[in-house]
Amino acid sequence: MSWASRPRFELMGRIRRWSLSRQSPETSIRLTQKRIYILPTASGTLFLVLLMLLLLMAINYENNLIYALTFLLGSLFLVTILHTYHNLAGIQLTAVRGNHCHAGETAYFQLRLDQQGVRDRIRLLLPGGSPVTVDLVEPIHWLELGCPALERGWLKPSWVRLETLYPLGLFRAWTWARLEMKALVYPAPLDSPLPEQSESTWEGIEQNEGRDGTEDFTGLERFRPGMSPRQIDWKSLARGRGLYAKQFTDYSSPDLWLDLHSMGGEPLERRLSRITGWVEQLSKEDRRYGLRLGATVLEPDRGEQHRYRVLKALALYGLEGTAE
Amino acid sequence: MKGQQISRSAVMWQLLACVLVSLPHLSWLPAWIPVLLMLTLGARVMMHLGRWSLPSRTLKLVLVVAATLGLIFSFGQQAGPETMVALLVVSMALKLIEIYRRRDALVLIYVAFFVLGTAFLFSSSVWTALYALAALVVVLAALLSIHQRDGVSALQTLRRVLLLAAPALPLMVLLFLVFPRLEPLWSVTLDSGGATTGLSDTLSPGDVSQLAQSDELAFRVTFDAEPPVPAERYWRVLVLDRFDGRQWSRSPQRERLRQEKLEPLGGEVRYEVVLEPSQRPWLVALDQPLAVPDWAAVKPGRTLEAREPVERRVRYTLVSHRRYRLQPMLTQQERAHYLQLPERGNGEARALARQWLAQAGGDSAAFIALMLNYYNQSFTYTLSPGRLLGDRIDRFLMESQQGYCEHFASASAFMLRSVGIPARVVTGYQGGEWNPHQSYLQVRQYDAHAWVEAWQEGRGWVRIDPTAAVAPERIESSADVFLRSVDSGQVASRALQTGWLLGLRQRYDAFNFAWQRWVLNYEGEQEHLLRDWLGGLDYWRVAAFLLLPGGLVLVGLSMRQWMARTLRRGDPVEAALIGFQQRAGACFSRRQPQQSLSAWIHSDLVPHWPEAADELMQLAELDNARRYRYGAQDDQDQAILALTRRLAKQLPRRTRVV
Repeated sequence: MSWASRPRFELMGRIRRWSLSRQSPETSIRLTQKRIYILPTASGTLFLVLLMLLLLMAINYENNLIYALTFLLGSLFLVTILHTYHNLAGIQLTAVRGNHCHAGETAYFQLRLDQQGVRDRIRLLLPGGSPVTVDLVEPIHWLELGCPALERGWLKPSWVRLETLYPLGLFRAWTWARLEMKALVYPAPLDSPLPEQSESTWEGIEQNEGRDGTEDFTGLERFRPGMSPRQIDWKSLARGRGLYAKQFTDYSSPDLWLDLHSMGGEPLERRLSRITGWVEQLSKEDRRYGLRLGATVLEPDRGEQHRYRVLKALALYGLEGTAE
Repeated sequence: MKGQQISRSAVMWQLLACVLVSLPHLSWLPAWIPVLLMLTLGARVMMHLGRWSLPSRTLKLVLVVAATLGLIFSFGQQAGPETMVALLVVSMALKLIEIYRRRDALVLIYVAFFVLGTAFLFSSSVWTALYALAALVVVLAALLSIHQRDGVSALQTLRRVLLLAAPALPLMVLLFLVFPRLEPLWSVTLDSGGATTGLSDTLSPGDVSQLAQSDELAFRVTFDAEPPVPAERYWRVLVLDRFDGRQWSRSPQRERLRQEKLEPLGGEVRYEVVLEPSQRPWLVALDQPLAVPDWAAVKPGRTLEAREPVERRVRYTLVSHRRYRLQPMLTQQERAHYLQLPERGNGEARALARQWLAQAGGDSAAFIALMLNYYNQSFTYTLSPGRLLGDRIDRFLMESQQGYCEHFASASAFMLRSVGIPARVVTGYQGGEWNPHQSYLQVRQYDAHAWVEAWQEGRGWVRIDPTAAVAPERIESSADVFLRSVDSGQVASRALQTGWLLGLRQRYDAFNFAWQRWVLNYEGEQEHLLRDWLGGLDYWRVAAFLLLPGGLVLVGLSMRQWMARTLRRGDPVEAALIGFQQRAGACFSRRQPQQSLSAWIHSDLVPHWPEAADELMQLAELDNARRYRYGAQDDQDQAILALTRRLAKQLPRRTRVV
């Protein structure tokens, strides 16, 4: 960051906090003049310098045609303010959902953008994320914006920034919208070998009898959401019969308990990361596992929904105000 | 964002903008600059087509060094607008080959704006202005093209620029009308193109007739009271006292002559002159000024001269007397000075003058009357007298007998001197065009004139205008009107006298005149016009004049934009789908909010409406494709519209059966 942009950066932060403090979070926001700010860009400022030079030339050579050109460009500069503002005004932004991810990855948020009228290019940005350029041609646009997930827990980006330089790049109109968006950030997974089989982590084989498993094929069943995609019978889908899941019964694989408090003296975050790594590995292998996080106990199970419940418990463990 | 690459169509816009803004300068730029521009343009097009790769750093460096040397070679130490424009065009040409990112394009476009402005330094005709306006649209399109989405057609881009610029036009006019025209901050000179026409300090045949072809403004005058009649509008500028057999000039000895004595006799006129820049120190004054501004001086011969050449428009007030006696007494030295003639030459003219003097009995007034009478009998006043060789005054008096004011003045002064009557040639302007609407006199270069002053005992210097004897109309009407009525092959355009062609020509003249007056020389009209329109020039009036219409334009524009974004634009496909869902939903079961259209069709419609199964599945597939954007959008839209219509027609039959 150059020496000149540092104060500007801080000033922007101050304006942003002030602007956001005037809004309450909503799931859908329509952009109006209350929220849209507009200032000349660097090239807009350069344009003014150019106008001054032209004016100087007009004065010194007493040339009325150069005066006229200067005034035309100056008027255009003014009119551009309205055009730039128009490119943002009236846009309706709705938060759809946030995609869950692990800490250290990028969380993607889906937004829906509604607009009428003739507009052109805008950019959207979440704090810390990389900007997304959108050419507004359709009345509805579905967007996906990334925001770096640094820590586990709920990620709630405090703002989404929309900006536009259209039409001539002389002005930048921008706004910070306080959209209610959130995505669950699981702990960062840590690759490590599965815990040793021991008395405390293994349950009896007999208890497993008759449960869904992965070993022996027993038949087909209509696919329900929440079943592992590994169970899908692709052959029947290919024959056009629809989605069916292969049913297995598992006799040999025992339940695995993952217990935070039996893991020795590593720091909490590291232990959570280790468990997360195990969970990802186990669900990839489609094995049954249960979770003990102090008071929270999740009975052994398998499948996507179970994985989500476990990872959510891990993500929110020990965080204040995480009630949902 | 600065690092962004610009689109391919944007590159083409940049190229076009560069060419268009450089075109007006190509005629005078050193030949290598247009060649360089063509080469870089070609190179960039080759890169655009993918035939060549972007230039290497070394090649760019070589080009920059070569172009710098070229500029030094062509312009050297000269630091005028030409050098500046050449530098800008060259840098634009060099920048052309490396435009790739938005930042490069911005540099190029901003330079193009400036180069566009410099075109007006070299030409200010209506055509230049119209051309510049068209070029400006292209430069703006280039600027727009790097900020808009890709895939906007060229025509669409131009349309966007026009819509963008249209509201700026009325604002420009307002600013143009109101913005105060400031005095130049430092003095600048234009070497070429703007070479000013005007009187020179010598007079040889052809000088004034040269000026007669220029309609450039020389000066304007406003009078406190009634203006003098046309025949009294003699604007003196220079007194030429030396004749070398060919041309009249100002002798160096004139500085030693004493100040001439003026006795005003009445006919006082008070007036203000606005003199256009002439690059010469001479000022114009009506016969004969009393006091002079403190930055000017009265020279021998009672002409006015500023201390510095007039490099910009000056304004001064004078009081003149139309009746006066100038220098009633001449010293021996002065007498000799105003009798100077070459020893030899023009013998026939001398003989003719001697004959008249004898006829007049030595009386100078009678001599002058004889001379003017002689002109009146057989001489013609024309702009194209033909070339005279040898003793020019003899040839003129005896053979051709046709000439313009300078011939008559020169011959008259010569003959007066040859018979011992002190005489001198005066150059200046005569007449001018009275503007009844704005009440001022406008004097143009074609009003330039030359006449004679002869000294008579007791009366002093007396004005003698031989032209008035030959062609009194020239003195009584404006030079322009007169010239139109005279046969003048040289001024071909003015000779077009017949019918509609003349009408057209006059209309065009009037248009050019209006352009000159209201645009190019608007500063002369500004105060008057604004006072007329606003009834005063108080700050609040000017501010209101600027803000009311200006605000109206801006409010109108924002209203238009507001309407555009609030009025819902109906999407026909969406509407058709909604209509279909409502009608089909009424027959079967309504689509649940969580169901997608295709899921609803598959689970709720197809089982109950097998006859239309094929079409329904097709619709479901099309809807998916449209929503998730694969395939050709337009074809899908058409297909959906056709399908929903067909299904809707089948629907009522089906309901009746159920």
